[in-house]
Amino acid sequence: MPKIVNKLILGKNIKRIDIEAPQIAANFHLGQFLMVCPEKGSEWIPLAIADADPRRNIISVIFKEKGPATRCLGALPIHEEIFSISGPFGRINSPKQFGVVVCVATDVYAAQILPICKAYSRAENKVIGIISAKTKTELILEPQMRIACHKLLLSTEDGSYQRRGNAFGMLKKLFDEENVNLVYSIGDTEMMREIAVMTKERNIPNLIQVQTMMVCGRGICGSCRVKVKQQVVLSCEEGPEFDGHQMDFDYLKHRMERSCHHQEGAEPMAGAPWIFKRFMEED
Amino acid sequence: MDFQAFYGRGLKEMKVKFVPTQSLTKRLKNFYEVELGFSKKVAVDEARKFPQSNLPSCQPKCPLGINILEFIRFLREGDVGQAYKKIREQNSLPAICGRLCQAPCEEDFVIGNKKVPIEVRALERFVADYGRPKMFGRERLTCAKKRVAIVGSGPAGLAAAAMLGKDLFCVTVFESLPLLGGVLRYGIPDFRLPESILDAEIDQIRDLGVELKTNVTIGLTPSFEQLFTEGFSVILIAAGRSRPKFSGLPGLDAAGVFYAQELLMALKFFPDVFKKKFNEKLGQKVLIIGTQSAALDCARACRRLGKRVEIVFPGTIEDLDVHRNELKYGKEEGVELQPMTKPVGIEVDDSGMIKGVRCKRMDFAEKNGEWVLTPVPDGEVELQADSVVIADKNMVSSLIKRVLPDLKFNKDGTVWIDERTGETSIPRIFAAGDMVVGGEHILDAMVSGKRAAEHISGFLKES
Repeated sequence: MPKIVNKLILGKNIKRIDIEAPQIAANFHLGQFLMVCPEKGSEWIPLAIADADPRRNIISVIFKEKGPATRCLGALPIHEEIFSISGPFGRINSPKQFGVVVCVATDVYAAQILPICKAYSRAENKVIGIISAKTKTELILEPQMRIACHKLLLSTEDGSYQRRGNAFGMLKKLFDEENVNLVYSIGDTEMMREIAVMTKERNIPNLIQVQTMMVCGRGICGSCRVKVKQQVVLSCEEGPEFDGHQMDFDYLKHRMERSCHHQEGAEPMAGAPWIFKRFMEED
Repeated sequence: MDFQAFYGRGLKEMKVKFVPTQSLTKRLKNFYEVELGFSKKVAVDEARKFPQSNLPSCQPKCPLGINILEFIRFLREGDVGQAYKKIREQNSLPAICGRLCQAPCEEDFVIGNKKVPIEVRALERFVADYGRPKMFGRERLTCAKKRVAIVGSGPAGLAAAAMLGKDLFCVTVFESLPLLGGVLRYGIPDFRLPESILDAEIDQIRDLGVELKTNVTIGLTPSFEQLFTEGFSVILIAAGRSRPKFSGLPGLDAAGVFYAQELLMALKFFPDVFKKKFNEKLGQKVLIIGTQSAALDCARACRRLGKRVEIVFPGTIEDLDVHRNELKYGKEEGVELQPMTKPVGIEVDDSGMIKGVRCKRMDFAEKNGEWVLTPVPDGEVELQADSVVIADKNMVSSLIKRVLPDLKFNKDGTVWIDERTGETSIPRIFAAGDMVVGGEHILDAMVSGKRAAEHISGFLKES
């Protein structure tokens, strides 16, 4: 069983754990993800690998504590064994030389953009990183990103750190200054949609990573389906990296909302209309 | 007009013998096994009633090759251990077959001109539960040098592994999920196959000297070429057909549409979360589309959460692909059936939630001298639903197509194999299970796995 070697608290509810997993550390490629099950009987969490060290057989993952499963994973102490980690799954990305690459991420998704920034700068691109978060305490990985990128722009929505504003506004400003060749965005659906629309107007290629809810991660359950080029595909098999211009964001929003629905503890969608109708018929 | 009563009348009379079950009120509140199985006295009595004649019509045939008359002869004398040994000669998963088998042996059993309903399945289950040796040591002493890798630990993979293990080959089974069993683990709920039984059966296969590895996805890490370089002389792919087929039914992108695997998987792997989450997500009324046994499983699982459930399918009740006992239990538990109804589209309201499902009533009409199912004019109805579960046929995972581009497929989506040698279009790679058969029964997959094992042992002994 894989063992937790180290644990760090990066921000508000955001934790990083280092896990001993030689098989995965040796075979990890960019863009792939893991399915982590902290205890028997708890949900499986799809997590991107933030960093892998094949010499020490260690991988590190960064996650935000939202639901019961991630809270359970966050509560595991150092030297505890995790029930199961399987993977890596997903299609392998191979970064090419584009020129100037802008990598945009919000909140905890900065953890996913970090290896991408590293890979693109290794492929001899000029990488500009943009990270934004709600407040200062939720902004993570600033020092690591500074090393990985040639230039880093930070913003918070309430202005508690660096500039006030969101990632989209910063990217818009950047377009006036630099000749951008590729935009890579990871974050909430609305932001990715806005960036996709804007880049399409300017004829700039756009890559995105989607975070749909997954039950299995192996292409069995079909809950991670997304619509690309009018075709329904599974993001665990074909993704999670897609072309932003071809993604159907309305469909994606449906899928994402469904996953948010239960996590927030919102009202169940329930069959209230059915009950009303039945009573009315009886009258 | 009550369509259900109308079409239900003409069906063949189903005589079901008494198999003790949990009481109805109890079983709707838990997920434990429904059938309790025979006691020894009843089982031996049943076996004594069993006609022992040499007429060819009285020889129940098992696709797996179990000598049914022989094991029942042992059971008549009360020798359960011997009966168990007799079954295990041919079938390496008797407790699972005794619960999930489609039981074709029960159907064509005729004395004179009368069909006799017999309970071979329940007897096999009794023998498997009671006859299993308490102490099961390692049977294997020697080991051949030739190594076989089996991809997938579903019914086909396990059956093949047991056969090859008995032939003293060095077998390794790779499973992608953290728990063994494939579809037996994630696709069949606890009230049909308890997890402890599955674990016990897999333990017996492990005792044959078979190595079982979990959390390994062949194709990603390691790849098929790596397996060959590691020293495996033959690979058997028994990965099944797990990927859901996305049909063109309008409204499928609504928020309350689920696939059967998602529900069953969540129920198996995280039951507490399932009960909480899906209780909210499914709403009050669930509509299930499909004729597979997964459809009935989903329906019964939803009934246990207190939902109103309807299964919609275009054929007659006889088209439902389930064992008669399961159908009976489902009906008792309050699953409503809507036969001769074809779903046309899912109605979605402004907020993206499901309102209902538009359906067309079907009926038989004569066309060129044949009776064909055709939609009734003006027979359109809208069935109310809060969520829709689709339990359709599946297809082969696209990962295999991506990793092995040279693999040849038939037109119906199954993997092509050479009838004589059992090999696929790639040398030294064999295939078995649902990928090859294309059926949805566990029995078919096991038969295919056994046949593939015979092919492989022949291939390895020659080379």
